[in-house]
Amino acid sequence: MMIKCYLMLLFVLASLLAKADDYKRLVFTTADGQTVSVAAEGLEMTIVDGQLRVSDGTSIYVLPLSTLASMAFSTDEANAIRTLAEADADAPVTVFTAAGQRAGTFASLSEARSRLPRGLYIIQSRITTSKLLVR
Amino acid sequence: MKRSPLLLPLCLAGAALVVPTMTVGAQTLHVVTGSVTYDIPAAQAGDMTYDGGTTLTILGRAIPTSAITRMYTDHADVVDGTVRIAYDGASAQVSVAGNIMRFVEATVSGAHVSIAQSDALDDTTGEITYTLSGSSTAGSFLLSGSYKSSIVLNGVSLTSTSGAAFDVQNGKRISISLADGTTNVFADAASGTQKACFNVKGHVEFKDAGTLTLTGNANHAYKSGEYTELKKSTGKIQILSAVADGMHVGQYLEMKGGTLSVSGAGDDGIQVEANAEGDELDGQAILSGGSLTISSAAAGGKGLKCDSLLTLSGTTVSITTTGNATYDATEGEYKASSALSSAADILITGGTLTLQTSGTGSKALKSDGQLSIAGGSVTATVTGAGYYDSSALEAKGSAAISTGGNLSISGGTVSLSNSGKGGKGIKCDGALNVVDGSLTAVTTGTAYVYSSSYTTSAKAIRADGAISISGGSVTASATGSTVSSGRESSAPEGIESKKTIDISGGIVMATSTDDAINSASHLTISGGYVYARATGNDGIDANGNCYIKGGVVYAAGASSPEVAIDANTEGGYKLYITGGTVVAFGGVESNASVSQGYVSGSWTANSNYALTSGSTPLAVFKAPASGGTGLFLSLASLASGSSYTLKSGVTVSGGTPFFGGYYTEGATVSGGTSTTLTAATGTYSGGGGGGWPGGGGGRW
Repeated sequence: MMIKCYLMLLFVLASLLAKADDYKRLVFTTADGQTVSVAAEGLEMTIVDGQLRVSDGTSIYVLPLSTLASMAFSTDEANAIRTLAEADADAPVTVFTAAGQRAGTFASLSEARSRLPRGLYIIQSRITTSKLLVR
Repeated sequence: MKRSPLLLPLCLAGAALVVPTMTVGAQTLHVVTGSVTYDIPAAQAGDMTYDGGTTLTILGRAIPTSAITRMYTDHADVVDGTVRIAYDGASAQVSVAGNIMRFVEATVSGAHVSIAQSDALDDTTGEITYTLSGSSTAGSFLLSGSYKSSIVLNGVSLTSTSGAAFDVQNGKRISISLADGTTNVFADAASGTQKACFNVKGHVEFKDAGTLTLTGNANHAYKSGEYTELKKSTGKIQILSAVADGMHVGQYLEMKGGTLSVSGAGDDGIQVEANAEGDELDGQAILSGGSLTISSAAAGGKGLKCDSLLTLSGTTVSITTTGNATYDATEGEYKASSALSSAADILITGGTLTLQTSGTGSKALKSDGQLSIAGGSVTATVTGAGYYDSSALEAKGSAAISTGGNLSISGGTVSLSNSGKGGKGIKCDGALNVVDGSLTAVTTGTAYVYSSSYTTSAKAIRADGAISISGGSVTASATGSTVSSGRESSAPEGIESKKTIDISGGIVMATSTDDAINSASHLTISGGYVYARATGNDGIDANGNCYIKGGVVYAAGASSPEVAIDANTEGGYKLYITGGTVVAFGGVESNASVSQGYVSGSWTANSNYALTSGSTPLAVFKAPASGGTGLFLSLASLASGSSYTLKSGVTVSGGTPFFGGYYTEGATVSGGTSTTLTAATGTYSGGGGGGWPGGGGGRW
């Protein structure tokens, strides 16, 4: 019985020694001091033509390498750090049709939504590339 | 039993010490740069800085962003201090744990992996463990560094098409684990300047129960610049073939366990080279456990040789060599093959040694210095013939044991056989001393005759120095036939010393064609049990004085002029019998000085005899199958002028038999035919002749 207790305690100790903190966000800090984040789970990142392309499985965020200062994992919840999506909301966007034809440039995503005809579009901002369905 | 209150805290503390640091559960960032991936636990990553977009620095390592092909997160476990190398045909992938990424520079070209371990690595971070797996027919592993390392072979198979397959240029301690249940195979390129297929600059410690197979296609199969140790947990290491040595070990070889086999070496199976002057173990081979098997066909090659002390205390060793003697142009001399050899001393205290050699002039167990056997089992079988060494102008024979210095046997069991022409059971350039244990030396070959001027005789035991036997048992048999070189005849001798022979205890049995026991100087028997029978010469022959002071001596020589016990009377020497029990078939040397009582008679081959005083047996013995005429008996209990009965054809019961029953102590006898003999003392002038009352003459 005592041996079982000790084995159990050993397992618990091993578990404690393993650092089991779960990181919620990967936070990017730009050279001008701004911070934006993306969910840390299941990230895929590539570097193409001087740009860091970050995909969380739903959207693709594009960050120019020249603007980046650092990145770090954070355990803070999403509300604590402005997300890339939030940072992207007021940025100018370039719109492409689903066929890849350029449909125009707009001051913000909301302007594009209000002015584009119904259909599926590809929205490319300073930070993200995403899809937009205008109804 | 009351448990200590400190037991639980101690258990927890101990657990804290042994549980490796492993990050589980949280995210891991993988930074992929071609074939090299850095695995960074999120908890360790800290601030990862971008420098103008050209580099990304993580945990002290600056990675060019142009080299990054991918970054991703998952929940993979990362064990600190580890590098994993996975080979897959024409490519290889390297994974580096984040905490050591600044200390490891990995370069991958196809399936050739080269890792430079930073000299900045120290005790603060600790050693790195490199784990190899997978396979490639055009791959290799190269590691450089200056801090100790661990390498785990976890089912890896590499054939290199260029250079060594495994090369560690690190002069420190390299721990190599053969992962349990895995088979690991390395073969190098057939051309190149590599020192070995599996080469380590520093010192190697093998452990764990997997298998390692090596093939050296250009040079040695295995080489370590410094010592190699096989720990008790070591599994199997097999050398399939090598152009040069199977294993070439610097400093020393220590085998505590494992199964090591070496075959197909072009030179030595295993060579241990002294290269660390001042180190007390330099040049040594220390065999204390496990199993070692070596087969060698190289001309002049050695199964295992070392520059310094060879110690066997527990390993089971089996070595077979077949190579003939060959002329070494570099050394300017002939080299014969040997199974186990040391340029210094050999000490055997345990273990099992089984040696076989068949090449010309081969030696099974050879020490340039002293050989001491205090335990264990030594079996040596030699069939190699003699050869003519034209550089030394000498005919040389093979030997089961050859020592440049003294030979000491104080325990264990030694069984030697040699059937080669001119072969020796023991060839000892120093003194031979037996105090305990069991020694058997059997030669069946004739002399090796190169020409009338160059011959070497077969001998069971030959020592240039004195022979001393005070305990144990010594059995020597040299039964090859007599051959003529054109100038003289040569026949095998049993036990020969170029100096003195002293027997004070133990049991000695010598049978031979030529002298059974021969000393170039004085020969003294003061105790023990001695049997000496020669079919073609003297049973016991002293070229100086022969002293029999005690013990039991049973001797049989050939017909006149040979005798059972001979001293060099022609040189002014004499046989002195002052004690003991002497039974001599073929008589003893004329003018022998016998200060105790003696009787003479005749004998019939193979008959059982008893010399009695009244009904009390004084000596019970059996006649040999052949020998010189005349029977000489001397016992301390015989009184000059008294009568004794020699009974022939008796039935012997009980007692303690010696010499296979040719002499029995404490027996009772019955029956037989009686002859009355009168004892005398003083100068014995009978030689080997007869003329005694009763009985028939001896027969061949």
